[in-house]
Order: sequence, then C-alpha cells, then structure tokens
Amino acid sequence: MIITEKPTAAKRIANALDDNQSPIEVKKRGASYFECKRGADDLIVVYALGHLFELKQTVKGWTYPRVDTEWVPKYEVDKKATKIKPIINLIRRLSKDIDSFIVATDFDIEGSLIGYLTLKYACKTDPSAAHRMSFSALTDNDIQHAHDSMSNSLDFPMIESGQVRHEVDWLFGINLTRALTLAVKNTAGWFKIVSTGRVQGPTLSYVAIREQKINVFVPQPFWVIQVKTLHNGVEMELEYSKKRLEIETDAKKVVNDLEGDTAHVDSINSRTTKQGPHPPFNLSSLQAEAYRHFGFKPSRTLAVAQSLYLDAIISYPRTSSEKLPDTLNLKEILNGIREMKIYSPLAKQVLQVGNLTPVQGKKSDPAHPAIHPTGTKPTKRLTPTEKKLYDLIVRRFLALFGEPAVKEHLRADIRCNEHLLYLRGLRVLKQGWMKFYDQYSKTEEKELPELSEGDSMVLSPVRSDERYTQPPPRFNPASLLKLLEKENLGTKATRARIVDSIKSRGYSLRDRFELSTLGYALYETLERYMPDMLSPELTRRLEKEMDEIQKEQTNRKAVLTRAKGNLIQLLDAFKVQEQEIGTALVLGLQRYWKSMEEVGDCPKCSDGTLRIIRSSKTGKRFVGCSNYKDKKCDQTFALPQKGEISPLDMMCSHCGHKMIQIASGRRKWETCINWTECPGRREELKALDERRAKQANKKKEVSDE
Amino acid sequence: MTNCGICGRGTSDNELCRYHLEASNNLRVAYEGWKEATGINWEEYIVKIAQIEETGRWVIDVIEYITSQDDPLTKM
Repeated sequence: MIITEKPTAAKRIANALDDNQSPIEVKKRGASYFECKRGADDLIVVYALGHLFELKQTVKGWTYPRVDTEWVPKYEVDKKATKIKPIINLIRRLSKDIDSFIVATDFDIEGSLIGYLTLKYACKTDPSAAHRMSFSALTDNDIQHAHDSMSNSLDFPMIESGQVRHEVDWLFGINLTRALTLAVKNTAGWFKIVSTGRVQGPTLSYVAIREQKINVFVPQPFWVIQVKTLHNGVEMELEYSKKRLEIETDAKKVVNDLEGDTAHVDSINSRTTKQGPHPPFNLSSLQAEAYRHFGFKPSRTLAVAQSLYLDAIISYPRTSSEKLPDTLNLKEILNGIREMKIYSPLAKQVLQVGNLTPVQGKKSDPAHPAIHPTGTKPTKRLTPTEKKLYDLIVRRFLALFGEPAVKEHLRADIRCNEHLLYLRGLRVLKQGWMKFYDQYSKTEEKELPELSEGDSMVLSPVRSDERYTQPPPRFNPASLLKLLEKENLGTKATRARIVDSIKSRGYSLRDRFELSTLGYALYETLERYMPDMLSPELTRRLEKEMDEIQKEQTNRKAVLTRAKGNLIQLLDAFKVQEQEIGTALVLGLQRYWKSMEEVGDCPKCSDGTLRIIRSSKTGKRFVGCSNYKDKKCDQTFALPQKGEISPLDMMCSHCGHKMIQIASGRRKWETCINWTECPGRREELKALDERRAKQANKKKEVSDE
Repeated sequence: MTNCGICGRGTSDNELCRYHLEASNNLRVAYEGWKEATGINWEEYIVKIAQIEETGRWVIDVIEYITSQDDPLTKM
C-alpha cells in the first residue's frame, strides 16, 4: 500500500508506477483508491486529504488549562470534515491484506507526520516497518526513481518534530484563546472568541508596534530643488546635487541663485555595471515576487504553487532552498520547456549556449531543491492565476542560465557658479538574463540628450518643492511574511496562514495591516498583563528546540514537558489577573464594535449618530440615526447588501458624507453612505445596474439551457 | 489612577495616556526642527502639522486637544 497526501498525487503516482500507465480507480462508499501493477508487485495507492487525524483534549470541558491530548480522526474535532470518515474506513479495510506499506506523502515535516499518523491510526500497523519514498517533483521519472530507491524506514526525527509542533501549537493556541475568551465572558457575559497563539501573538505585536510608530509620527519638512532648462530645443529636467535641503531659506537662496542664470556642462561621465541573475526561487522569494508583480497574497501563491506541483509541472514549492543540485537533469528540463511554444525560442537559446550552470543562491534545504519547472507540459488548461505564476517560475529558471546584464550609467555634471546639477541617463548595453526574465525585470532606460562638455544652458524655471518625511510604511502580506521568516517564527508552510489570521480575526483592517481597535485592545491588554504572550522569545526558543529534535539533539518528550511547564506558568499568572484582563478586553471590544458600526454624526438631526443597522424584519442592513428609536429622526441611507463594510476616515468629495469600504471576495471598492443619491456616483450606479442586468441575463441563459 | 484627557485610557499620573503622551512629546521635539527649518511659530506650526497627511492619528488628537484648551502654549 502506498499512502499519498492528496487524490491528485495518488492518481499521478499510480499512473507513473503502473507498468501500463493505466491504473484502475476503485470507488468505494465515498472514497477511492488506485490499483496498479509494477513488475511482480500489486500496488494499492490510497490517499489522505491532508491531515486525517487531529489532536483532541483527553479531559472534557471548554476551559483551561487542558494539557493532555490524543490523536483522533479529524471528523471528531471538525464537524465539516465529512469526507474524512469514508477515507479512513477504506484505508482501514484495505490494510488488512497488505504485505508492505510505503509512505509517499510530501517529503517534509507535515507530509511525514501525515504518513506516520495514517499508518498508526488508520492502517493500525507498525510505522517502523514502513518504507519511505521521497521526491521533489511528481513527474513519472521522479516517482519511478523514488519508488525504486525508497528508504527502508521513515524519517522519525522529522515525524517527532512535526508531532511536537502540532502539540505545542495546540497547547498554546487552545489554552490562551480560551483564557482570553473566558476572561471576556466572565466579565461581560459575552461569548466572543478572542484568539491568540504561539506565533500569532508575536505577529500581532509587530503589526501593533508599527502602527504605534505611524500614529505618533510627526513629519519634518525638507525642500527639493526642481530645475528645468531648454537645450537644442529639448526640455530637460536637471537634478540638484543635494537631494534635499533641510532649511527653507537655503532652498530659497538656491532658487534665487539659479533662476535665469546660465550653467555649463562641466563633464560627462559614464560607468558600466554588471548585474547577475537573481537566485532560483524558494517559497518566500516566490511569494514576495508574486505579490510584487501580481498582488497575490502569500497564502494564494502557496495554494497556486501547490496546484502546479500536483500537476507535476513545477517542483515541490515548500522549500527554503535557493539551489539546484547537480543531480537535477537540467538539460531534460530545458528540452521539455523547449516543447512549449511560448518558451521555445528562449529555451533554445539557453540550450544553444550549452553552459548549463545555473546561478545558485545562498540558502539550502536538505529535503528539496529550489522551485523550478519540471519541463513536463501541463495536462490541463491552466487558470489565468496558475498561468501567471507558472510563467514567473519558468522565466526565473531560464534567467538562471543567462549572462550578466550590462548597464551604462551616464551622468552630466552641470555647473552654475558654486552650484552643481546633474543630468542622468541609463542604457542597457546587454540584456543578458533580463531577456529571459522579460517583464519581471524591466529597467527604465533614459536617454541622455545630445550634450558636449562646455555646452551652456539657461536655467528656468527653478523652484523649490516643500516635502515631508514619511512615517514607516504599514506591512503588506509579503513584508510581514518576510519579517516572520527573518525572525524565525513559524515555518514556510504556516507563515502565510498566520499572516492571514491577523486579518481574519479582525485585528487588522483593509489591505495594508492597519491595526483595528480590537487588535489594539488585545495588544494593549497582553502587553500590560501578559507580555510573554506577545514576546517572540518563547516561540523562537520552541522553534529552535523543534529543529534540534530533527537533528536528534533533543527529543519530543523533553520539549513537550518544557513547553507545558511554560504554558502552565503563563496560565497561572493569567488566572490571577483574569478580571483586569477581561475588563480591558471588554472595553476594547466595545470600542471595536463602535468603530465598525458608527459612521459619524447624523446630518439631519445633528445630535444623533449614524450607525450600521440590520433590520430584524428583512435581515437587510442600512445606515440609520441613533435617534430613530425615540422617533426623533428618520434619517436612513441604503447600503450594499454584499461584502464586509468598514468605515473610512474620510468624507466624500462630492457630497460630504462618510466614506466606506466594501470588501467582497477579492474585490474591494470605496463609496459614500449616500451612494444612491450622491451626484458624483451616478456613473458607479449605472455601471452597477449594467453589471446586475448582465448577471441576470447570464443566469437566465443558463436556466434556459 | 486617572484617565487620558483624549481617549479615556487609564494613566497613572499624567494627563495623557502613554500613546498620546508620546505623540505630544514628538510634537514638541519636532517643533524645534520646524522652527529651525522655517522660523514658524508654535500656533502656525500646529495648524500646519494638523493639515499634513503624513501626521500620525494620535498627534492629530493631541493637536485637537491642546487647541481646545484655554492656552495651548502652556498645555505643552
């Protein structure tokens, strides 16, 4: 029996291992498996759906502390996991007649743990007798090679490390979340889940500290000199040698000195620079690049990369490596890429040069190489999102073989009395690797106009622009993920989810990580009463210990015992201050709900407050005045019924009413609460009506068919 | 224990909570830079700072607070 991680992987593995490449899928009671023949062996390929087993507390009760756990089928803790039961039952039944078990899940901590738990609790067999197939791509060659060279034992240190990660995350996540939630319940009687976790707490603190810096920021002024001139009929913008001037009178003096005066070209300098290709992608650099070019959230990039991996067209994406090992058959991959029409000319160029030595990065990963295309053609039509990510990966791979790009930087030094000005130009002399990376490595070339030393020009107009220093930028999903990686918090597989959780828990608002009042309330409360829950130190130490388990420098039991001890200490301290913590959180929650519901003063009665209200009769939401109940004011505004609404700190430039943001799926748009009447939004309404009519037509067409 | 004059958060001895106190300190320290750069006086300065988009939210709170006082200069 070969145990795989997902149905797609099972199908691919069965297909690759079957002598005739036509395995039989046997469907049984809501699950299935594949039968295939390889030489004298009859193989049964079964699949999990990620984790089939989850941790559950052994002692009942929604309280804390709860520190003893056991592995149970996932459907026992997650009522939505209905597909798991038939799969476990099928594996259990099939296992009775099996001679030998092989784990062929992803070769990483999670994959190894999934295989181990399936063997132990579904197959009810001894995991120490099982074999392990390890591969970094799901191509036929890789799978066959992995099968023929499988190891005779599982990677137990990796499994132990994975197990302890789950246990520690469960212990901290469940107990701390319950402690916070019960503190609110015991104070105000409300049941509102207030979650935190081992990595979520420190992540929240990074966002909160950044927000504080932005909130207390006072800009300083500086001045930038803008100089224009006309030379041989061409208008040119010159750059003053000092990028910014700190004193207003100095800036004014420069303007007075230069305006209308004649400047001379003192010298023209040029220097060339060489820039080599970027290293191969690992998961975090792929996530950062996909965010930069396509705006994909890291979690989305991971999901799309996983889908490309399951289609066998890229290698395993959860890797830290920036290296492509010598064992990789690069020529074969390039030959495969050559068969794809769109990349054919580029792949041919790489193959023609013949030097197949790719650029390597610094980071390595013992389990998997850097992310690369496998050269296999996609078996299905890629979605637009998959197409974009695949293109990025292929081009990055091809660029690794390119020569350095050569750029020429030109600078004319132009003098006017004691003042020095520059005119810059940039030319790409040799595209090198940039030709392969194409649109992802655009350099803005700037031609230097025809100039010779000694040329003169009259400077006009000259002006100084007052500008201000900027606060530190808010995090975006990619920069927050990068920080977690730098601080060694979480793993490459979990970071994207943690970043998402800050937003999904209501701790941050909108696209950038703008801390919500709820986020503030939690951060302030924990910082004051339980700073250890926000500190990265505890979790960093645990990460280190989990790494040490993998290196066999410590063991699961020792790490778990220490973690439980730390947790009990934290919870004891929490219990003593539960009332204060509860009061602080309740105040914060009240402020949060107020900020999410209130949209400013009522324009009609002036002493009422506008609130987002949901009608108890129709279930529809609208904006109404707080004086409505006393029958003093009947001001209402219609609201869009779909999407999450958050009030913005700005007023409509057309009608002066409060602006709101509506987020529906991936679409976000801003409008004012007066949107149905606002004179500036007629076009928007018209477009909305047209969209609705189009959708209605589409639905009608479908139902007619 | 008193409450912050701006947001009502608890504070030990100060009139402002630690966030608004930090914003207030930053506002005062930054004034020295502005005075040197532009020769601006305090009243003009706080009007100007309140209009700049980059100014922090808590700094704006402090400006609104001190301008609502009888003598904004003494409040700083």
